[in-house]
Amino acid sequence: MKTSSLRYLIKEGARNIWSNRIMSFTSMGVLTTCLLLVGAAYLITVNVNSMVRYVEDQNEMSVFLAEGIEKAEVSSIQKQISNLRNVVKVDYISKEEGLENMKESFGEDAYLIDDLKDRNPIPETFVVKVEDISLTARTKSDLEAIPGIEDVRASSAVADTMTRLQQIVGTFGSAIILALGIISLVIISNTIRATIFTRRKEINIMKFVGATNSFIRIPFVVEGFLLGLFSASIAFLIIWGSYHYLVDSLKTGASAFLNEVFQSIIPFDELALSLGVFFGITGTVLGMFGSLISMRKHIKV
Amino acid sequence: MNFVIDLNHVSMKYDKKNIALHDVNIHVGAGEFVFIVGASGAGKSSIIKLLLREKTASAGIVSVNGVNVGRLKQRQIPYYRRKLGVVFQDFRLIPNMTVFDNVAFSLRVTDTSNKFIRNRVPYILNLMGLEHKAKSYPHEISGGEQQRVALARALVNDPPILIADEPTGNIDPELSFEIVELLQGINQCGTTVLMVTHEQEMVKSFGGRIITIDRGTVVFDDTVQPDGRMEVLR
Repeated sequence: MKTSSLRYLIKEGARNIWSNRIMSFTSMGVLTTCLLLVGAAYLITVNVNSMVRYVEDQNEMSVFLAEGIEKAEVSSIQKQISNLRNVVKVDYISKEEGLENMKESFGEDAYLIDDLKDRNPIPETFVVKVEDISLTARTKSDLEAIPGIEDVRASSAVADTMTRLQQIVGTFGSAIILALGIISLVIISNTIRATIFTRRKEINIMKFVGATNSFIRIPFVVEGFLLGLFSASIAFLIIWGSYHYLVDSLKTGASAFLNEVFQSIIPFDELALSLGVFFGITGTVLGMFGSLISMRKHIKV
Repeated sequence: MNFVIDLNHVSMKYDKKNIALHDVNIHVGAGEFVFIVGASGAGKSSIIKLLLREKTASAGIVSVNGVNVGRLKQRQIPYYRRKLGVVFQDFRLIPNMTVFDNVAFSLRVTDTSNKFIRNRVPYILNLMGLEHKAKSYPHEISGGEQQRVALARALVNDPPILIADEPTGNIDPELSFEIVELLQGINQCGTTVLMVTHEQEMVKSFGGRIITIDRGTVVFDDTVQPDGRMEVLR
């Protein structure tokens, strides 16, 4: 095919968008909406995962040892703890360090506990970091079973909530993405089928002047591609704007703890590339496939 | 003699009950002008459908320009159709393209260079007396002019055969004669013309070779003097 012909066909595709602007507008509206919903589901999933990871990172358990344990025994307990599944890190804090830490947290009032030096009440402690917070309860009982450990403290309430949130978002998120993907394909191919139905005469004329099928297809494919690209760009801009707005308003109204958690919200810049590529590919592929699927019937003359 | 359009014992049926053509023999030599006449439902449009390879014969051989049309593969059909110029009763112009683009369309389809298109289209429009309408859209011009645009589109590829399917059906009677005269002029330049119509009176006033189809068979095939009598074949 000559390049002048190819140029003509691409120009035709672009021109068709304007000539059939009502249908083009409808298709773009549908495609943009679907991309927006899928994009929102993706962003929510990604952020909840990131928040859970943040909470997980904070998720430490304090393991207090019984009074009067030998040095050798301490290191054996440490070994036992680090051998447990789900444990990623074990830090030892001696009685003295514990007291120092406490003094530090007292600040100016540290003199109040100065005379505790001789009869230090702080037990020897391990700070244990777990990998999966959904297993916190089990790890806790595992720890308690080790002889020499007197008490284990874990903030399992936060862990439970976050885990449940993650599961719900994960399930619903993927269900929504899947359902919307199917719905948008159906709607798009129906919209394009309606467009093509009104243009079957045009296709028929092309056939009778001896146009090959690929020649007839190219403008429609170009049209689908461009519509997909436009829709993807619009959806991207809308998502960009609302994400900034939403994150800002979340951060201003939140409590101190939530604000800390919200620090783990992923900045849009980090997601922009993957989201843009995803929108671009999904939009154009859906647009082109919609075109091809719906014109299949009319091309057989 | 070599025929450019050659139907040998051709039958065609849509299904078991609807037989459109039965044992039809039509032989048209190069450079001939032939009217195919018949009432609606007689089988005229079936002949067009066979020639354009929209349908295939259930028996017999259809051959055009020496090509066995029934044997064409799907991908060969577009190239086959480029050797035929066709005009229809309803003109079949693309509404959102100008007259120029409608005519240029059949050249673009055949991968022709822009330079050739820019020379060839005005030339053909000129022949059809349409040079001042190049920038108009189909809905802005009269029925007769639209049919001339369709003719220009059919001829711009310089096809050896022109098939006209009821070209005067949607046009005022006085303009109909103009269209037929135009077709005869095209024929005089060497193009074989096959014109299908139900307007028997008009055909008789022109004369020439007339083929009459009735209920799927050829009942008359002879050359008639203008305004001469037609006797049905037995």
